[in-house]
Amino acid sequence: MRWVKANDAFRRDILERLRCDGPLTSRDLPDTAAVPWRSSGWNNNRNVPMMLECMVLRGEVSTAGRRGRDRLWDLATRIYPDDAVIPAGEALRLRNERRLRALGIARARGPECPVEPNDVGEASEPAVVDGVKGAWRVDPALLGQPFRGRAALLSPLDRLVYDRKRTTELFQFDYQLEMFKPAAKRRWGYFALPILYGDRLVGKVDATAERKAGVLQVNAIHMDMPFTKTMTSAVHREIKELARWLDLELALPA
Amino acid sequence: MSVHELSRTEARRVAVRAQLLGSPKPTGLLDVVRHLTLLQSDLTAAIAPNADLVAWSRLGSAYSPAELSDAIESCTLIELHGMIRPCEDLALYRADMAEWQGFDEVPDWRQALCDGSRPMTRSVATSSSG
Repeated sequence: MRWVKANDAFRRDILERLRCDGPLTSRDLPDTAAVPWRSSGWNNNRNVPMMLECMVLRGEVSTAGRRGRDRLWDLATRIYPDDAVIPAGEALRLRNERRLRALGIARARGPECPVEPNDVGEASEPAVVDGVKGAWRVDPALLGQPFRGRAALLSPLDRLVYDRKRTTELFQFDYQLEMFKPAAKRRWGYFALPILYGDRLVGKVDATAERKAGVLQVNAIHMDMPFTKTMTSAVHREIKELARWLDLELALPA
Repeated sequence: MSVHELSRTEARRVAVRAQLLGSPKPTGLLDVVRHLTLLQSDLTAAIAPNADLVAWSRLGSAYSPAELSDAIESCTLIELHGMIRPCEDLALYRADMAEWQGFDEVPDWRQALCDGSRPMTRSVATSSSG
């Protein structure tokens, strides 16, 4: 990469500093960039973070835990286990298999995603789903097993719902993370939590942890379908449990 | 190889169980992360940081965020490009790292990762279902 090549001394300075004093936060690292990273925003201090990102991609540097909220960095050789490197083709195959095991059912190919794909290549075995177009891959170990469900409140970024297309196709659940939408345009809330009940996604909880007030403020419980008494109890139990785990009082909608 | 035919219900149950959201709950943070392969690191404070919220939704209130920070501090779990992964899985990424030649154009989301503006969160927020 041209920018990394042009800043080879900068890269070596970072390696040397980490070698001597790692782990360090990015603020502790010298900005000796010969060619600065062009900045389009108000923040001009991008040289060190961008070089670190490149050095992670090159396998030279790794995150090394945190100090408070600050991420620490160190030489990759100190952080990554000494295991033999798995060749690229085999590694891709293994990543796809592992991802399918975590997703259960997924498309072989999908739109490109930053960092972590939603698709799984030709992992495991082919499947079709009645009423849904196209082919899937499935982990056969999960087929023909008894199912016992529960009620759960999910993060908006939960991997069960991360692939929004799969969420619509299999769960027929309409959902979007609305934190970047203007408040007036939100249907469910800033950070609405999808509600899982058994094998269905049945609604969303709009809540905020108001830490200064010591309260989990539940603004609304959106129901995508009528809730039975059993469902309502189970969902309320989960919300109570969330408040308890957060060490907050619970304030339900009026 | 014959093609498995699933009903939508069966497909949903496969997805739910794969994500460790069936009953009974799993126990053990490391086992959960090894199975899920990752916890996305997002520090939005509306409820709790994503990694903690996902862990709680699987493990219940027995889970303490201190367990996750301990695992990160000891490098049992390692954050790579915003994803917290088991350290042994880094072996699955190192060949690509050794071959990395760079980009001609750095994708916007890659730049955003560097200045902490949560590109993965933005990307999923704007992804459409259709």
